Amino acid sequence: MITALAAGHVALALVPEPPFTRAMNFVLFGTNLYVLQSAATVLRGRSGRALALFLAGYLVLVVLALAILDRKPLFVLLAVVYASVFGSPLLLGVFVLFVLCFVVLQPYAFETFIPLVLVYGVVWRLRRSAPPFLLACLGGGLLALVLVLLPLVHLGFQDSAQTLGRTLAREDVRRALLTSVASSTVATAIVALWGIPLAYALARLDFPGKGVVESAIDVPILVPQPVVGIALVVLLGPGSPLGQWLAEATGARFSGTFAGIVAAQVFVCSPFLVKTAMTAFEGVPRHLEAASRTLGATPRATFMRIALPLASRGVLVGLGLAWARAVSEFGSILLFASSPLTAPILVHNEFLRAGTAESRPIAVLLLLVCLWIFIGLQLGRTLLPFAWRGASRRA
Amino acid sequence: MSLEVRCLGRRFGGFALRGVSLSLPAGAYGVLLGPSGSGKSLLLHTIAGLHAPEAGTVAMAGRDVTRVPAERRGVGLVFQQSSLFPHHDVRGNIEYGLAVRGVPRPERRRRVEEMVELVGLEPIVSRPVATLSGGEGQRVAMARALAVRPSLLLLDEPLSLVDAGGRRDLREVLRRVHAELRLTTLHVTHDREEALALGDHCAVMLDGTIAQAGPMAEVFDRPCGPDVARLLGVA
Repeated sequence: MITALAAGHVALALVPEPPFTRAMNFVLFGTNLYVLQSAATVLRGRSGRALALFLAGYLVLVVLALAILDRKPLFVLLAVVYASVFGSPLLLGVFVLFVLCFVVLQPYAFETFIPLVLVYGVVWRLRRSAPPFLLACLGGGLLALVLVLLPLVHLGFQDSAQTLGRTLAREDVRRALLTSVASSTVATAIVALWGIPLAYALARLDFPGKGVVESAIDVPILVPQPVVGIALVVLLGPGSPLGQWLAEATGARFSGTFAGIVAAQVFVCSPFLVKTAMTAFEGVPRHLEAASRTLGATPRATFMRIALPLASRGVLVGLGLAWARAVSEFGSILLFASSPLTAPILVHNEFLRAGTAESRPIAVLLLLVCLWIFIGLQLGRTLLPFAWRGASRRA
Repeated sequence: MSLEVRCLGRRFGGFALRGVSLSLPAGAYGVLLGPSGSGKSLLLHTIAGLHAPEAGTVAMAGRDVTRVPAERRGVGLVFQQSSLFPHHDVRGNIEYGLAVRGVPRPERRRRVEEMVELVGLEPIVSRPVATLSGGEGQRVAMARALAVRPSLLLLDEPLSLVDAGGRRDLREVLRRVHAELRLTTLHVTHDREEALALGDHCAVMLDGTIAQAGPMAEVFDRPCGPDVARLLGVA
């Protein structure tokens, strides 16, 4: 085999117009020698199918790195790694993804490689325990999810830390981010005050028209954002009877104020908290609350001591979703309360004024702020003292 | 404390109580026997105040408690399935009723120790409830119900989901608790062996109504009809 390999490389050097310099031919010979040695070790005692697979992989590398890209050092590197990892299916899979992301999808290398390796890791871990159908559903679905989230991940890789730091140093950017965070927090707190009790009542009571109430809770999700803005202007705007009365009686103005932003956010984020909390409360077995009542707890004490702690993870998820929805609201705020500027409105204004380059770092900062609530949510769920999974097993 | 139920009527889901009347003298251990779906649990929960009756009255020690909310009836209820609070350990569960009633901490601790000793929970008192077996869980539920010193103890098939060994232990605990506390007890079951082993009074429930009630020996010796006799296994 070694002689045949050497003869092949000598023949390549003797053709009238050799494809490689002598030095490169020698390096390639050394590389192929290593590949041959590794293949002999890895493929010893294995089927012809493994050999065919090895050769097919090697051929793909030759075509990709030498014929298409004409990058010989890259071929040397890939061939050596390929021969080294072929014996381990897990590493081979990671290698294939590496070639795919860093050679084929090079401009999107990091943002595709990291999620794809994670997906591969999950599927690999479940390969023996999960039925193939479920594994295919999971793998396919996760791949699609990677594609769905790709724009955001790609955006996150666009600006350097220095650019982001410079953008954050801008007074208008800081003020807009602060307005967004503060108004979303206030809006979420307002929704929590009435949304959590309402969710509990809906989870526990049956009454005629309950289905209509549940549908009504979903209405803000269905209504287009500009319609919400117009509706708020009509109800609370300066020319409206209610807006005028509120301004005269209490001095409170909504249109174009912080209160207006909060009003729009309350409207759009309420379904996320109410529906999620309702599902969480429905998951708390009723007989636990019945036991609490017979032990002397009033319905209110039972809610505080049993229902709310047991539903706390779901309620926390609902609060996080509501906050995230509030902070991302754009359309209705643009029409109803475009001042003070929130971060989404600032991104929009900067995009119209100066294009993508100016608006992008602000968008990335807003994305990072939103991600913090996501991370906080995960941490909060982990830190909650109660592990409901154990409980539901026994219930 | 005596229990007096008069002409109780209530529909809930697929179950119904139709003019149920039942009386239990103070300190008695009554067993309510009946096939599945006859309304036994619904009756127990209505006596506990978890369901408001559509008709009839519930009286305890001669006092009408029909409109008194569950938390003020002074009734202990042990459910068929585990109803322990998963976010508390065994001690926290036993202490729960005392905590919501505002019992001071030293007194709470003393009462928990008392219950732990009475029901025999010393080895498991600090364990999370998710790690308990079915029988252990029901013993904790019993200690929790007794810790608040109820005037009436209601047991809703407490042994039905427990394995044979646990059932034997739990039966012994029930017998000991009743002998020590002389607490008026109403125990729902569909197992006549269990009824005979524990009760001194018996009521047979068929299709949402009490078909026969009286002292245990009398009911078993003279069933009032073929359905009751078949249920009691004396036909």
